[in-house]
Amino acid sequence: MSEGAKRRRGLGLTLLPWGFAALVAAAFTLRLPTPAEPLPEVEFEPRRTAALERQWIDEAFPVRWLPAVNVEPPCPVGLRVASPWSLRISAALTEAQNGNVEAALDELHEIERWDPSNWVPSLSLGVVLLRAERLQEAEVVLERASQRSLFRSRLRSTLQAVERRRATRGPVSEDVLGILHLLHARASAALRRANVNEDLSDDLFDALKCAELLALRADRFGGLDAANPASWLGWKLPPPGCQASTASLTGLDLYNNLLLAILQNDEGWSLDDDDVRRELHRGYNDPPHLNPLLALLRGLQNAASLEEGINASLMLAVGEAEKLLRILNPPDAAEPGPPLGEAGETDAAARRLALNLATLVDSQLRHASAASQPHLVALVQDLVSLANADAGNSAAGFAPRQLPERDRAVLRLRLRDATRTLEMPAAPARLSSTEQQGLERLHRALDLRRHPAAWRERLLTPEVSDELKDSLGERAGAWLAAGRADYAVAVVLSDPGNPDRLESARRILANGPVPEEIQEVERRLGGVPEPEEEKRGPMVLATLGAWLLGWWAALQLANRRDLRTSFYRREAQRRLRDSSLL
Amino acid sequence: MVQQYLDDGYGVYYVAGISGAGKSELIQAFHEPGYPSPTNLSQPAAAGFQEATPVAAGRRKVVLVDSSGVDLEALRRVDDEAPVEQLDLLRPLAPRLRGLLLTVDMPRLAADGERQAELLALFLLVIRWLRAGGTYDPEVHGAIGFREAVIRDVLLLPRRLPIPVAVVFTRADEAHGVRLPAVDRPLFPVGEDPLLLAYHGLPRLFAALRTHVSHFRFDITHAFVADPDTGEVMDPAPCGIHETLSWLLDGTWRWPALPSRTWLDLSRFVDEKLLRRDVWQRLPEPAEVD
Repeated sequence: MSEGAKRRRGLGLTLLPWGFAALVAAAFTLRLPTPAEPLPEVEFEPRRTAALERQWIDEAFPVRWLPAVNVEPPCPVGLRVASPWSLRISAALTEAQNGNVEAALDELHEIERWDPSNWVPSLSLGVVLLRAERLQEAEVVLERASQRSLFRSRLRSTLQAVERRRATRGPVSEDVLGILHLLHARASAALRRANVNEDLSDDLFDALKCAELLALRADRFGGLDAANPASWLGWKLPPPGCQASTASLTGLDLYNNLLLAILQNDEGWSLDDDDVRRELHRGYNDPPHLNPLLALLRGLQNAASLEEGINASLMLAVGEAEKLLRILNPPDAAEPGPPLGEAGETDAAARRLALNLATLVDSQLRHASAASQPHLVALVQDLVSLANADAGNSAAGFAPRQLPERDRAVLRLRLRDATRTLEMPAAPARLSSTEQQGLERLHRALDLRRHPAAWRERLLTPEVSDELKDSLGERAGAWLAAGRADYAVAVVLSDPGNPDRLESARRILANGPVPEEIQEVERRLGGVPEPEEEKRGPMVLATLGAWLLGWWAALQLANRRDLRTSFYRREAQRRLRDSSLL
Repeated sequence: MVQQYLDDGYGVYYVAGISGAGKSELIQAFHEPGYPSPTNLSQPAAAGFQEATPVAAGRRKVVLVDSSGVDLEALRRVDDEAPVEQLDLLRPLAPRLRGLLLTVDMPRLAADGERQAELLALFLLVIRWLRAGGTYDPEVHGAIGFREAVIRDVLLLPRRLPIPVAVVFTRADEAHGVRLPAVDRPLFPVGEDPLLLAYHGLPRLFAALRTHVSHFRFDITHAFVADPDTGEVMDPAPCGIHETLSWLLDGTWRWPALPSRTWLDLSRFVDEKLLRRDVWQRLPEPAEVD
């Protein structure tokens, strides 16, 4: 710009282009909101939001596994093997029942010392100790008894008889029952103490074999169909020497504890073991609506090849559950029946098993395929309903001290289901403050999600409202971020080839982390420039344009002013002023 | 001499006016830093000759070309034949023109104003015609005469002259009290609005500028003062010259600008509707000088 031009325009007009440029640059820097296209209103599945809410539920209501603890003492009077001690053992058990536990224990200890190879005093002693809540001592006594050579040889011959399907071979039935009850009592003690190892699941497998031998004998002599395990799994297994009508133990209890023993043994197996692979192999391919657990098992196997954190115990437990449910509810029917078959309808022990199975399946729902997921959800709901049947009746298969645990386990599962259905279940009256707090937080979150339009509006509001802070506390931000991620993913995946959807997703996410699904689409479309980079070019161009526009405007204003100005008068006046100063 | 500057790539600012209008003195009075300041009275250019004076205009190479008033007057011939010699002088300059400085002898406005306006209007017409590559062939155009031929050609031109044109009333120090036929009061140069003075006093020239030129302005100058002993002497601080020539030499005219007539129309609209309703009806009283 020439000196003459600068003089003509003066300082004010020379500054005009810089003012224009500064205004435009400031507008970009402050990121003035630009009018944007309205965001597409798509239906979306709140997967991340529900997962976060389930995490809150797990914090307030930790996973609860309920072992079968219905151990019962033998009836020694009717037992041939106990004949030398039957009266003394009976008297001791009566003493224990009358509350004189120490005297009974002294007596039983003494008998056990005298006749260590006899399982009747050991089982009686173990049961009395268990009922007195002396779990460690009970486990030592029962463990010691199960390791004795006579016990082992009888167990071995029992297993051989089952393997060869020979009902007449093996120990006499009272000994088989004794072995079975002793192994069950030992497992109960170990599970309650959470002292779980591989031997425990082996013991429970052996106990099930004992039950099978008894079923074989009943089939031969009493008409029980041993070829159909469903019929004998619900069969009462009375304590040795006792009447069947007073028994509470069934094959389902043994299965229940077997599942827990497998699940809680984290170090016993490896996915690379041939035994494990053989155990997980299935020669059939049932459809998901008839055998949803098979689909879950396949999903777990696929996931295990991709990610860590899925151990062999979990897969073996799901495998056992699949086998059991297939036995109880064979897939040859056109429509699936009750999840635990006929036994589940009648057997009180099935309710506890149903609760543990529901907890197991629910915890792994995320690994199920989309096709099998509705069937698994329905299965969990059926199992929970079964577990909660006759909730007010303390005799419904649960020990009295297990009832609060049962209530919380059922509530936990129903709350987790509520993150999908948005229907809050009724809660028990007595809850701890942590549980109550978790319940209220979830209640509030589900209330907000129940109105999709209002929820979407709330997700698009950058600030966390005070109301939300009050109801969800410090978790409000994470909850909103999960909802935004769900919404953004749905927007992108509703039209994955459209780059505008990526831009919409960025707006929804509001600087939050970009979900993997969106990153994948971005990679496929060749990436989306970062907003900062996106703005830099236009910012420079707009600033330069503003400067030029300002410069041009200053020039035009100067021209307009010059047109009506007399330079002659201006100079003459200046001369006059200068001369007057002189 | 001018040709040498043209060969060196200089842009041309042409100064035109009748004889004795003070063209040479005006150029003499203008000086930019780095150029020798005038010390002597200049000699007017002789008829048929052009004097070139290089001046500073930023990084641009420009030269002020002073012409003889006789050559301007020769453009208007009674016999309506083509002024061939004058056209030959102007033709090489026309494409290199960067601006025009038209001088109006202010003391002679009363007696000679109409003629000056007519001559300068004709000059603008010819320059526009020459820049568009206009030629005159008596055998082809003879029937309608030179002036009519130029007018017909110019009427077809789509663009006005894109170069700035400054019109200056010269020798203002001698014009105090001059009366114009169209103005009912004596002039007082320091207090006059040059635009309105041209509008009311020289309507023909004003209309020609609107018709042929995109960017123009009016001003008043004086370069000399009358010395009772020696006649004219150089004014140590000439008035109106430096700023007018700075406006003319401004390189920013190369950029697109709103035409002066647009601003004029806007000013007139604002004046008539809001401010001074009568300034476009008659020349306003001169402003006071404090």
